[in-house]
Amino acid sequence: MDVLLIADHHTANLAGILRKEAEGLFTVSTAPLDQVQRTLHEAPSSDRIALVWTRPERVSQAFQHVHALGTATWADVQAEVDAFVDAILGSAPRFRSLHLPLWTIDPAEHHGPDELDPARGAHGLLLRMNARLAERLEGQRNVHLMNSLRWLNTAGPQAFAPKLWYMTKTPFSAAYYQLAARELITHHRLRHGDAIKLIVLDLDDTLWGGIVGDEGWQELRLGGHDALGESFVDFQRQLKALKERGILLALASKNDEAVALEAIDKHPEMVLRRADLVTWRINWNDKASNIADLLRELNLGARHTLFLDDNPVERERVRSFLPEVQVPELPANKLLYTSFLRALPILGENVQSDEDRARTALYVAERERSEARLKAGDVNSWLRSLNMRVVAQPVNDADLPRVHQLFNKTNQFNLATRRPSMEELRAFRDAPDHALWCFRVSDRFGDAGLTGILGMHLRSDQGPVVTDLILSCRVLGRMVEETLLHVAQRLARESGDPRLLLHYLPTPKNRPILEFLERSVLAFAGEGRFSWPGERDIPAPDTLTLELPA
Amino acid sequence: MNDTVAPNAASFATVLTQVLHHMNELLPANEQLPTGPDVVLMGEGGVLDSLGIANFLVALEEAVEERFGQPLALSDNDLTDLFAGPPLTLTTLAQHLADRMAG
Repeated sequence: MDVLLIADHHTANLAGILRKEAEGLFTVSTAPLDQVQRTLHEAPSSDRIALVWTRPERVSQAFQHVHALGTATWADVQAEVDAFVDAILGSAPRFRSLHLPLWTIDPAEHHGPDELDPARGAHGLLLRMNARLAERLEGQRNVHLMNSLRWLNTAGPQAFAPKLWYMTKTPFSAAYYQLAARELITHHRLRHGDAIKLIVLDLDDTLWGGIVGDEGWQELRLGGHDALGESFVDFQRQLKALKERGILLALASKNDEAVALEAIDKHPEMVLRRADLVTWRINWNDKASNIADLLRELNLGARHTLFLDDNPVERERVRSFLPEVQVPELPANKLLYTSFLRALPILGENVQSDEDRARTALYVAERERSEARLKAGDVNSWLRSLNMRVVAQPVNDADLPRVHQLFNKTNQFNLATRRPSMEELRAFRDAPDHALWCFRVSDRFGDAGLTGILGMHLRSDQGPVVTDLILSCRVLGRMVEETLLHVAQRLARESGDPRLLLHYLPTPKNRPILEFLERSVLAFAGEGRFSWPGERDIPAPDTLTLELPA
Repeated sequence: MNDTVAPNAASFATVLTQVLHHMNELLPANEQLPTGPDVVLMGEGGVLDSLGIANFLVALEEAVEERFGQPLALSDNDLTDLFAGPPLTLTTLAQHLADRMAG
């Protein structure tokens, strides 16, 4: 992946810092200095990311006059902002994504008593320029504004580098560029599968003030006319809001389980209740081992996990045992927990599917399923007791966003780990002799939604080939995998050739699908290939109900 | 500000090394600058290009003021000598700066 720096100023310092911070995630190239419009206009179609960094006084000559204590009208400024946005929008289809830092001038600059006047003051006009920029770019899928005001706030008086500006036409300090580089990388990671999916929380002095085992839940500092109690309620509210956005919450606490759960159930000021938690480990075991166990249960990767604990010893233990888990240093002052949490880059996609938002309910249902499994005894009896229903159908336009999301997020049960764009998916679906099907899974505990995908080239040179076989980990191990194979072979037979060929492409993460293929009815055909000879049909599992289009 | 330190060649050498280390912290491993006392930093055959010299001087001004409590203006001078002049190593530059501040 290459990041192209397109700027009206010298970006060599930014390029070096971005290469360092990206640690190989990106290569970095630089467009010719101060040729923003031309570069945007002439850029060929590519998979590159563009960081388009302009200064307001360069984008708008009218603003430049005002910045130099002259005069101009908003109409003049707006026309120049719009011309710039037009160039951005014109080039957007030719980049993977474009990232634009909000325009800034040094906040220390004084521009007189009317400086915030939106028609003629430098600071007022700048606010309006940024608002216009955001308004014009609203809804653009691959054009993203970057909140450079946050970098200004963090870098403080050191953000601008006036000496370097005169010496090299570099307007910002290394500290400022470092913040920008980190934000670009974080943004990229959050949008491409590295978002936090789970927050594991301690209890005592993390979710409430005090030690519940010593003091009893009635004496905890939570809510009430108490600064600390109020701050813990706000902290829980913020966590609950994250849960509503699809982040899972779990507990890892050294406590007596019954005592801790009683506090969660009974304390009148608790915001988070059992139904908000996907699982918990409340015991006296090693906390890091508990978290590892909890991740196994949820089938989640450590790198998608954030651990919040007031105890620095526990934090250090988790860091050393599970280095991929993100373990921030919580502030020593507990009144700062909420503002600290708000400043963490946790949320990934701007737009989350209904499935994402309902994720906690799905996991809670899974917890109940496991309990049913213990009661049911053997696996087939358990599966039958779930009353599972799988609805399979060709992907339609309404399914495409979720199918696109599954293609791009699923790692473990993914045959080829293709990461197609929405347009590529649509083209694949509509190509002659191709099939793209989706699978919805539900059972008596809940609806897991669209969780499976089957892609096929039905008349390839090698006969019917399964190009994509994808299943969300939330329904793995319930014979849905076998159902996908059954449907694949059925489509092959209906196309005139009952054979099947699958080619497994290994990645560091997709071993679960290989293990399934190895134990499936398919024959290993060498070099990652698995086949079905077609002499008979692959049966549908008898533990679930499969519904196909009439 | 740190405790007062005499601005002599040895203390300048320490500051120069710190500045180079700080610059290197911002760069990928394969782009980092060599930092030995005899590495030619500026002048003929110097490891710093024009942007590197600018970054270096600006960072050095801040570090000197922080370390010795006195400003030292370098970046507002004509830099031609630093590009084309005699080679300046960390050691010779430290001596040059100590002499300049003393005198």
